[in-house]
Amino acid sequence: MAMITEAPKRHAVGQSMKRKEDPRFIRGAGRYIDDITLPGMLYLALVHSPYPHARIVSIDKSAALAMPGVKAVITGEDLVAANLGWIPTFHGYDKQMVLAVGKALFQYQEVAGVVATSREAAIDAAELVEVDYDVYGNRHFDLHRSRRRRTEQALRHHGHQDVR
Amino acid sequence: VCVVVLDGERAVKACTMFAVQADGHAITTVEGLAQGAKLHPLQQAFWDCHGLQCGYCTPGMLMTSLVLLKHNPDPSESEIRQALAGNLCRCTVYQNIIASVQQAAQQMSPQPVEA
Repeated sequence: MAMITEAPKRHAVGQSMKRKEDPRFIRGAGRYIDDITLPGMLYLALVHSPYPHARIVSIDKSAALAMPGVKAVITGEDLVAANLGWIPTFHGYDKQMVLAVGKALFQYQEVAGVVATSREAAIDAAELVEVDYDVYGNRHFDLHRSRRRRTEQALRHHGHQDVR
Repeated sequence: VCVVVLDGERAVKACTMFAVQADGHAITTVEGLAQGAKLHPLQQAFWDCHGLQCGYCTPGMLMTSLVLLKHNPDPSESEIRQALAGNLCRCTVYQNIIASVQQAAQQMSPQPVEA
């Protein structure tokens, strides 16, 4: 049986550490990202695709933009124009579409974003963004046939050249 | 935040009670638990026993436990679990929360129970 000696007290390893952040949480003084308010801060609400695969025929921002407090309605096309359509992922070799461009590729994909002076105004206006979809048929969702090939095709089609 | 204590007797979710219903009642929030610099035994126990991680559910856990211990100073493990069932911890530190409440119960009891 091995002898276990007590670790020197000044080291963290081998002993239970008191958490430094706990006093504020147990006193109700925790501060989360949602609690942060900065001068001039704006709020974002997203518009999601209800369809897993659909061509975006048009996006009508006018009703949303007419709402009080709404500063901007941003679509995938706007981001592409600003060279912000794709963001790198943590992998580094991959990149990700920020907002759907041309078509929605999965259900709930982000299609537009509404920026407003309050959370409520952004959410209300997001409901007024009018997206006209042309829904693709089910033949695109045959999981048992050439799933991998189709995925790669889709990725190439959407600008990925080095698909592995 | 979230769970508040009404008249020191009842733990209520603040969002499920209208202000008019609370009219004339004493409300204790987690901010009122410590006596100045001195932590309430429940707060101390949660800290000692690692009864929290992100801390988001902690006010609710503390205030619900406060009422539990008022009515039942020596609860069993299952009684603690039952009392806290309405409070969810997404970090899932439930085990330590139970231990925290048990430690607090021990320290708050007039005659400390032999462990």
